[in-house]
Amino acid sequence: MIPVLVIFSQSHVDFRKPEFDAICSMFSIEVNGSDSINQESHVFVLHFESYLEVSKLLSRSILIKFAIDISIESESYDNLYQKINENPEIIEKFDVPEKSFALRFFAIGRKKKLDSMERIKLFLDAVPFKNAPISLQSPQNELYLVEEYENPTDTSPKKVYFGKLIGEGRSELKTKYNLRERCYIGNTTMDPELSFIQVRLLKHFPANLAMVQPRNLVLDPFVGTGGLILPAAEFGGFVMGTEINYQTARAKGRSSRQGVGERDESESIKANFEQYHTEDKLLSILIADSSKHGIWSLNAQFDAIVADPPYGVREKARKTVKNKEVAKDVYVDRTDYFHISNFRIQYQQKEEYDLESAFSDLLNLSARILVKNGRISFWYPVILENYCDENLPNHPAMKLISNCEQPLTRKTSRRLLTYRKIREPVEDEVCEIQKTGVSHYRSVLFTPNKA
Amino acid sequence: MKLFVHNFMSSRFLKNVTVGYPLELTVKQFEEKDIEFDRENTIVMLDKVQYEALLVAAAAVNQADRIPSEQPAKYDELSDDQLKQFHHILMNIDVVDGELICPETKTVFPIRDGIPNMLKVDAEK
Repeated sequence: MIPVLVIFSQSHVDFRKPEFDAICSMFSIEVNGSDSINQESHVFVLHFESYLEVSKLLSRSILIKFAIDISIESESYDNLYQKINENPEIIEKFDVPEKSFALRFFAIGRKKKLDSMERIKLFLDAVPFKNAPISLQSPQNELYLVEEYENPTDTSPKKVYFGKLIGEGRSELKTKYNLRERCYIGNTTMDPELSFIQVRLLKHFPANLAMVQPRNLVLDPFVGTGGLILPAAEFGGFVMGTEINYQTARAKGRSSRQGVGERDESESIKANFEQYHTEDKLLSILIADSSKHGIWSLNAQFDAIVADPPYGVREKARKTVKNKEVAKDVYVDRTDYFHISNFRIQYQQKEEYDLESAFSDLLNLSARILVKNGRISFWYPVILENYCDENLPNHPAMKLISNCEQPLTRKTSRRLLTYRKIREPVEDEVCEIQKTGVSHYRSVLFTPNKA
Repeated sequence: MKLFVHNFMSSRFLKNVTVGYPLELTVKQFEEKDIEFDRENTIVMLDKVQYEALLVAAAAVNQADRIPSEQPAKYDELSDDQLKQFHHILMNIDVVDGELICPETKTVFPIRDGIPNMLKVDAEK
């Protein structure tokens, strides 16, 4: 096994291990030491069977910064230099005239920024490279000196590593998909980094580019502006989404961007796909009520479902109702009436969709339209004082396989839940959900703090 | 809406509709793309497809002659050229303007700018 230093991003630490495990399971990568991955430290020495497997892992991870093939692991610089003296072949391997090199420095766990030029200079003074030419732009050997600190205030590192860079993770995707430059966004468009992690947890995406890519079909029943199916398409999935709000689906009305006013003609979900050159992957957006499972035919089967159901806080949670049954207190959204080409089409009235029903509907739908072993990953709002694992939605045909938390406020958080379909549902099997808390999410959130 | 999507949709959610499948399809405008063909993927896709409904969709764009009128026994025995015809029907055709119609109640669901609207108020009558 090859010892590899894996350096993680310090954001979204709760999602680190699930993302790592999902990718390893997707590629059947064997790793020794992955149990040591925790949220306190950000660098880990893990053992892999081959460099190819490390590269596969990096090709799909948004939370791994980079990985280094460890040549030396030591407790201090003195110890490092001693090891190099004893084993000069470590450096001789890289110090050859036909291979250019660069030495980079990285410190983790320390508050104050260190002078990396100084560290590199000290290292090269002690360990001179005589033969290899320097190339900072495109070195053939990109060497790293990594310092790991125990406490942010420590003056000397706990560990010093030296080795060659194997590759970087895909953190550039969060920049590529940033919301500031995205053509069409809504009030609750998912953070790009989290959206990629969510898609990663579905695990379903094709193994490597050279292999045949199974044509995964991915559905988002609350598609909004497409924030969750864009990353699915980036990784090769064919995607579909349903949206109950006519204006959102057609990108009409007021922009979510401050000071912009009405949305531009050019904004649309399709335009988002065109922006990232994945428009081939968009099967369709449908204006439809996701609580009506009968919009899907009996042969409809999806490989994965991603969802961020509206909690009714920043976006309304709604489903359609028969007009005659609309009770007095039911909320009716006036924006659902439009004048189109001189005749008036009346759209269905909608009522508030209580959160428990929304989530049981979602699991019931998944149990029906997912392929066996298909996965659903969705965000679930939680009131901290009411939360316990037993109260999560439960469907006999669906198994909870991952549960990560993102804190939101002092009283609330949301959890990214991933379920796998373990078998076809038997008739009349439905999702069970405890009436504890979720339906009070809105009222708890808007209750003023009692000082 | 790619033509393939029609295969997955029904109108069973309407009152008094028992089967609601396949939906009738009229196409006023469509675009033809050139999406990369992949043999395995096309087979995986075809395994999920209901064949009679696929014929309905192909006929709606006057391209039913691309594919056999009877369902082939095994998709993986088809030649690349045959599968490319299926790939064209499933993935290359984007319906821009048209209608999906419930086969039982004749409720019309309009498709505009490539987006079908399954919410029309008539749907509940």
